[in-house]
Amino acid sequence: MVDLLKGTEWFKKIFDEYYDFIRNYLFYLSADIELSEDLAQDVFMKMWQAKDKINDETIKPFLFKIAKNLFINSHKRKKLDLKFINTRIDNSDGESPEFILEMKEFDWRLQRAISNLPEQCRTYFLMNRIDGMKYQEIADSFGISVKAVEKQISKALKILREKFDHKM
Amino acid sequence: MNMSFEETISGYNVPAKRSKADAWNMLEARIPDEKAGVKRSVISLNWFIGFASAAAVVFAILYLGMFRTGKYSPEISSGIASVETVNMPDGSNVQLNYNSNIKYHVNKFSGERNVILNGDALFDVEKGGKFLVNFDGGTVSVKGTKFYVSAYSPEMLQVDCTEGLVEVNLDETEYQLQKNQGIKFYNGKVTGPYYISENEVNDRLNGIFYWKVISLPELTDLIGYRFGYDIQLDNTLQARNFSGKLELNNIDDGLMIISVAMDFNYSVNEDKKLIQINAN
Repeated sequence: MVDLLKGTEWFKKIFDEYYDFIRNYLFYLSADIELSEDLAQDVFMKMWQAKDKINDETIKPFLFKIAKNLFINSHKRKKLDLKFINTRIDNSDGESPEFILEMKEFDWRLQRAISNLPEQCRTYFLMNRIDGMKYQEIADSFGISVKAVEKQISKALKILREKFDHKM
Repeated sequence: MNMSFEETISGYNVPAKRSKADAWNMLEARIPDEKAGVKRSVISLNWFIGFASAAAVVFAILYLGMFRTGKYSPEISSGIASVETVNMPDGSNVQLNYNSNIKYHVNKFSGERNVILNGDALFDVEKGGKFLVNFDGGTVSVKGTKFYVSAYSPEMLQVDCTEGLVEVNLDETEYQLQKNQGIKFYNGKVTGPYYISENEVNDRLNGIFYWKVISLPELTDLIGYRFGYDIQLDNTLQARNFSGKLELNNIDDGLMIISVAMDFNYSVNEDKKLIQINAN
């Protein structure tokens, strides 16, 4: 019964639900999209192999934990250089060239500042802001308290505000 | 400029090299490949079969040489991630679990059979003269029975009897084990005799291990020995225990499961063959 339930259909459902979160999380850790996509494959493969040993309730923390471990094992420490696609710049057709240039420069400085945030600050902050994950969801994903997530995101905001808000 | 960093971030998307559909197709294609089980092979050292092929003739010569000189056979190894079945000339059968090796010698006058083991193995011994399994830290002596010996290190030894009677010498103390009894020795502490089922013992050859309770140092040592890695375990994790079933067919699977269950991180250094385990 368990095997029938945890077949390819079940696996596809889990993949559809969590793939983007896992791939993005790996990107926030590594700033390397090719590595992130390759590791995301391995994360789901590991989950497939362990499917009979994990409860549906613990799938999410299990996936994030595997992702972190695979990242640690594969990663050669290097300076992070996150490069997001900025849809605001891409959709700025009506704006003046000066404004677009200024926006690009701001964007470049912001992406560098985000890359330089401490790891937990950076990942929780981006999961909240880009993936739209609530504090509770992030806490559940890593088996930590909501308070701990709040603390890390506040830290990220404090660092970014110090760098950017007074120049607005 | 009037744009804040919060507004700018709200326009950020993670780039993609491959679509989600392609990622799924790649993953789906990998599933059948991952179903391959434990690699198994059989080495036959039977004297009579030896005449049947040129390869077996070589074994026969070695076998004769052993009788004349009293020397041990060449070492037979299972290698990492494979189980090797060794058919001995007396009809006894040894299944070597991962990363294990044996050599053996039969005394033609006394009929005493001697095996030197390093690692994990299930023995199914034909009735006959004394059968001795020697390992660093102890010996097992039987006449004809079925038992499992785990002897990767003199600091971590285990003997489980699934048939007949087994005499064990562990850490210079004699024990007698009956069917479904086991005993183990880890870092100076003897546990048992305890109950063990035949299925639990046999499952180890499929890479499946069960524990009512095992300390994390012992469990991680076993994983290290099984796959040929040194283990560095954070001091804060030394007192932790694990209970349950684990599949240990590759280095990552077991570590992944227990790292989630016990909330630790680990890193594998392939160059140094070292696994470092740290508390979160």
